[in-house]
This record gives sequence, C-alpha cells and structure tokens, in this order.
Amino acid sequence: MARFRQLCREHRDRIYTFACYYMGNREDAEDITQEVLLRLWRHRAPSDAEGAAAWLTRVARNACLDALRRRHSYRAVVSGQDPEPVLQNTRAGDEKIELRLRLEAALTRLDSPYREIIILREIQGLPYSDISRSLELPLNTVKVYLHRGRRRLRALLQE
Amino acid sequence: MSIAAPCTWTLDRIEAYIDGELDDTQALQLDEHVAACPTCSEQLAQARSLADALRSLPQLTYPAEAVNALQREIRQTRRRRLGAYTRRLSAVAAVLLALLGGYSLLDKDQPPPAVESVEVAQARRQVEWTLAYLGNLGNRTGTSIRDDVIQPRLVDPLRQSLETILPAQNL
Repeated sequence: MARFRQLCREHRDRIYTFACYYMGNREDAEDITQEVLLRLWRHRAPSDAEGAAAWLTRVARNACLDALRRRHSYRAVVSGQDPEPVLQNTRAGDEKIELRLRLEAALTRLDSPYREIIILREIQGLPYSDISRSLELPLNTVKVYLHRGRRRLRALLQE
Repeated sequence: MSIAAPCTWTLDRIEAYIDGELDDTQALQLDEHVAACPTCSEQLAQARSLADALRSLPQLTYPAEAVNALQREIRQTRRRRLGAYTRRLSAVAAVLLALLGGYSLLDKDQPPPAVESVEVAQARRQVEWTLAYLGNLGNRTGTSIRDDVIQPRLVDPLRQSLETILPAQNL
C-alpha cells in the first residue's frame, strides 16, 4: 500500500495532464486518471521505477483509446454537450491563449500514435527512451512519428 | 552534396533540424537554403513557433476532489471485498461443520466422537488462513473468486461427496 501511495503521488499529475491533452477535456481526464490509479492499486506494476512509469503511461494511453471508442459510440446515439476544455480562464484577445486553445483542439484531431508521442515528448518533456519503452515502439520510430505528427499538427492549424 | 529538390529536401528535415538531430553538414545546407528561400524560411518559422507553443503548454494538477473520490472508491472496494470474503468463510465453515457432524454418524456402534468447541475454532481458523491466503493471491494477480462460483465448485461437490458417503443421512 505504501508503494501504491508513493507511485500515486509521483505520477497522478503526469497521468492527468496526459489524459487532459489526449481527451481535450478535464472531465474525461479525471475519470481516466481514476481508472488508471485504481488499476495500479489492483495490479502489481513493475518493481523498478522506470518500469512502473512506463506501465502507467501505457495503461493511461490504452484507457484514453478505450474512452474515445466509448465516446464515439455514445455520441453516435446522443448528441452531447461540449465538454469542459483543458485550458480555462482565458481572456479574449490573448494571442498565446488563443493559440493554445487552437492547439488543444488540433491535438484531439491528431491520430494515434502521433497524438500520444507529441504529448509525451513536447508537452511533458519525456526522453525518447521513456516514450519508446512506454509505447513499445523502437526509438527511431518514435522520432519519425514525432516529426510526422508535428507536421500534421501544423497542417491542422493552418486549416 | 547535390540536392535535386532543395525545398523538398529542406521541408523533410525541418523537424529534425529544430530538434538538433541533423549532422553539421546537413544543418549548414539547410541554413543556406532557408536563407535564400522565403517559403522554406516561413515553414521553419511556423515549425519553431509550434514546437515552442507545445512546450509552453501547462502541466496540470490532479484536483484534490478527484484524489478524495479515488480514496473513497478504494475504501468502498475494500469493504465489498471484505464482505465477499466473509460470505465465503461462512459457506466453507458451514461445510466443515457439516463434515464434523456427519463423521460422528458413520459408525453407529461407536458413540459419536465429541466435537470440542476448540476443534471447531481450530477448523475455522484454518479456513480463515486459507481464505486470507487466497485473498492475498487474488490481490497480487488482480483476480477474485466470484461468489456464484463458490456454490457450484465447492459447496455442491462437497455435499454430493457427503451424500455418497452417508446415503442414509439427510444432509
């Protein structure tokens, strides 16, 4: 239980940040973070710190993908309200904030695995080796996907 | 190095250039091309701007209310598990007590062996240890035995065995 509490303290903000940018809203991100931390409680994460971090990232990514699948099937039946955006307290006219909001929206239109790689590398600053381990992709593939993802993101922002 | 299509070559390498992953020769060639090409220069500026914007997005904090909700969920799950273990313990203890009682009826010429309360307590303790061990295994592996499995897999087979051994007894 002590190890769970420690891992929880160390990683909950990171998982929440990842889920927020992946899902594009805080409400889904809270649910996903809780789901990931409950799985951490129920199962045994790898005993080494790096392994546990990679395991948590992988579980978080899979939880986001599952939530997106559920959301698509749900929205096919019920037209939902706009969820609460990630960035709040925005002032109209603030260029940086507007760019951030556009970025947030563009990120949610980016396909997997580009979306998770950009979030992990660019927003959360994880080393390539950690991303490679978390997503079980070769290191060079991670770099190629990162560059490709940023190009696609630029194209989405210009639309 | 001759480059047949400098713009294509440059645009393919802009992201790697921003990340400092080009070797010195390639980086120099890209610098020279960008200095002379307004289109690629604009693309490079946009790519840099995007990378900077991404890196400036804030890290977020998991809300305190969500932490409380997580703790509540864990407490409730624990209580549910404890309830399930108690029900299992009761079922197994009932079977063991039936076994002890049935044994005393096997040999009618002999007086039934006295079942001391200490023996019952010991049997109960052994069952508790076994269930605690199974529960611990379940926690480690993330699996649990459903209540509806206990009856058909444990209680009913034991009952059938007892009925075979003690056909005359109404168990």
